[in-house]
Amino acid sequence: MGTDQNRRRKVGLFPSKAAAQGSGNSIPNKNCCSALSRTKFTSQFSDSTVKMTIYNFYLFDRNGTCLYYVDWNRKKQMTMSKEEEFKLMYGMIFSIKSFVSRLSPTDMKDGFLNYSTSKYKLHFFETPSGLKFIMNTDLSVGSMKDVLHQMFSSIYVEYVVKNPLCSLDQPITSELFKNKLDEFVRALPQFAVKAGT
Amino acid sequence: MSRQGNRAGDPRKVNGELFTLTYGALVAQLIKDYENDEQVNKQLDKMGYNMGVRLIEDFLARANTGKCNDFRETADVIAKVAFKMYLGLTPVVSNWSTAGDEFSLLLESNPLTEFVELPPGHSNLNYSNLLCGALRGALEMVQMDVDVRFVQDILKGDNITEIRLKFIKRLEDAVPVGED
Repeated sequence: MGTDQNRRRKVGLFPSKAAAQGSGNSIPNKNCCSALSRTKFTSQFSDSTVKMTIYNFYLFDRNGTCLYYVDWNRKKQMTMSKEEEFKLMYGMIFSIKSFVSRLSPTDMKDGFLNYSTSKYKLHFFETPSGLKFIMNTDLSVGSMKDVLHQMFSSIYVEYVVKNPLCSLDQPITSELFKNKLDEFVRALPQFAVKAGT
Repeated sequence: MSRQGNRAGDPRKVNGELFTLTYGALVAQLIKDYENDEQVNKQLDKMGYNMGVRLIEDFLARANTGKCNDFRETADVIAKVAFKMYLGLTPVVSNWSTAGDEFSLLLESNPLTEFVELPPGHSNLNYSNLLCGALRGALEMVQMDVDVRFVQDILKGDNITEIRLKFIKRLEDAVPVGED
């Protein structure tokens, strides 16, 4: 019992320490700042405090199969299995899409592009063939539409579609694709993780 | 290769004649293997379908066009963008049905049949049937179930090559499990 508590405290120590340091450096009255004004703050002031980050990436095919998943700076432990998460993600995207298009006062061109919470921003891009590219980033990242399109046209098409050994409706196992995607994402300016620290 | 470098510096471009001859060899082999023209047509269609399913992604990546609003727009994109991109020619879109769900692509020349003469006894063979399969496969991936077939073929003595496309139905996105 005691050791269990101890361990928990140790685990808890790290992030809270980091958070305390962070708030001391940037915003003294962090608690009364709303999420919105905090984002404004980071984008207005010194670049070294901006921590642009890409958290993870999902690729779904038109049938809802998760073809590929990868994460980079996702620190929090997940409480559910990957399969469950993929199912939830696809279901949510499907619902948001139909909700957004039903609510739209006029015919939409682009449809649903992204949403943000106080902690992260989800970017969505769909090809006419029904492939869904989903990326979660930190809040300070702008539109990722072009980036996701590029992931489609210069990575997915090049290394999966043009590879006759890759079947298009199964999760992607190609190492080449994995490496190219990782390389591409790490080279993005939006990836600039921990620029200030 | 460099002489036709209109797709700015793509080193993977192959010579058009090599392509035509390769296709010819493929059809000839199929005829040997299957003996029956209908079977050969079916095999060509199947191969074309498998190509179309992949080709569409390459097309979408390169052409960067959005979704088409109606079948007429689709017809235009197929003729003016897709055929231009992959075969270097622009067929004429015509013979629309009154309901607007059927049209023909008219080709005055066909790079696949450049060196071909059909021997007698192959009146049922649709030599370029691969094109039909490719169109069908590609359109299926953008949620359109379309019937594609040859109506006329210069190879068989017609004045023009005509591919007929008939819209059957829209295919819907898969609904996730547990939703209606």
